[in-house]
Amino acid sequence: MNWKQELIQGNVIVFPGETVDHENAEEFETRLLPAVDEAASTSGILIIDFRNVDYMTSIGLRVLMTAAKTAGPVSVNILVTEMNETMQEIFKISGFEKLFAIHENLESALAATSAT
Amino acid sequence: MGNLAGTLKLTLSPRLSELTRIRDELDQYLRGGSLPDTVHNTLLVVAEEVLANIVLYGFCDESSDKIEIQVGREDEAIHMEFIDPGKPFNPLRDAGRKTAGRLVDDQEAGGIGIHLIRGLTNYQGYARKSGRNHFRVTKNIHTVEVEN
Repeated sequence: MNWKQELIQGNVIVFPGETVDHENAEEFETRLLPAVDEAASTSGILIIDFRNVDYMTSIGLRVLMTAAKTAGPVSVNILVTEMNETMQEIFKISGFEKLFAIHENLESALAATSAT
Repeated sequence: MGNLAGTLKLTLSPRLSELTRIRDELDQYLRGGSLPDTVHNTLLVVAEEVLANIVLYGFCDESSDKIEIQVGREDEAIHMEFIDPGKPFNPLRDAGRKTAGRLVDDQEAGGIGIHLIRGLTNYQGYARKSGRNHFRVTKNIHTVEVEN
């Protein structure tokens, strides 16, 4: 899967490059969980930027759930940004808006991390 | 607005490996309708969720059975119907029943899929007809604004 990862202001930012479904969920997991570990050794913040993700099926949401469960014990806070209307609806229906802090864009997410 | 070319009819063997082909063919068909992105995307999500439930939790014989999908537009809505010849199985109601004893994560994932099917569509219906399961969903093309 297309994947970009950066360190901005000491925070780990990941950019999944495509839709997450049955075809690439396993790779999404192999990319995301190490990013949680990296965030644990830096600022404790992981931002997932979904600007290139049209939608995500439940198998992808399961990966996010795993990431959330992994992040807790290592005190990593996961934020999500740049979700399109479909992704927002999916998060709302699945209750994931309660699991992750949602920001409209990367700038506001970074501003929120600076404020803490 | 574009017009969807007739009814899309697809068949697949009850294997997860078939989902990619089905997704791509459904995606191509829906592009002909110039649908709002949210409608287009949610139909792809729902199709994967329903098919995954049938494949993983239904009773189709992988070697001999075929699942049929029919997709079409009627007025201002898109209808998708999933037909399989297995034992009685409603993807919305029965998907969790075979997960007893599996890890909690699997059960939670199955539950999320059902929530998505219900939440992303405007209508879901199941019927058993002539020994086949018929599961149908409808997605309105336009959101109706309710004035208070």
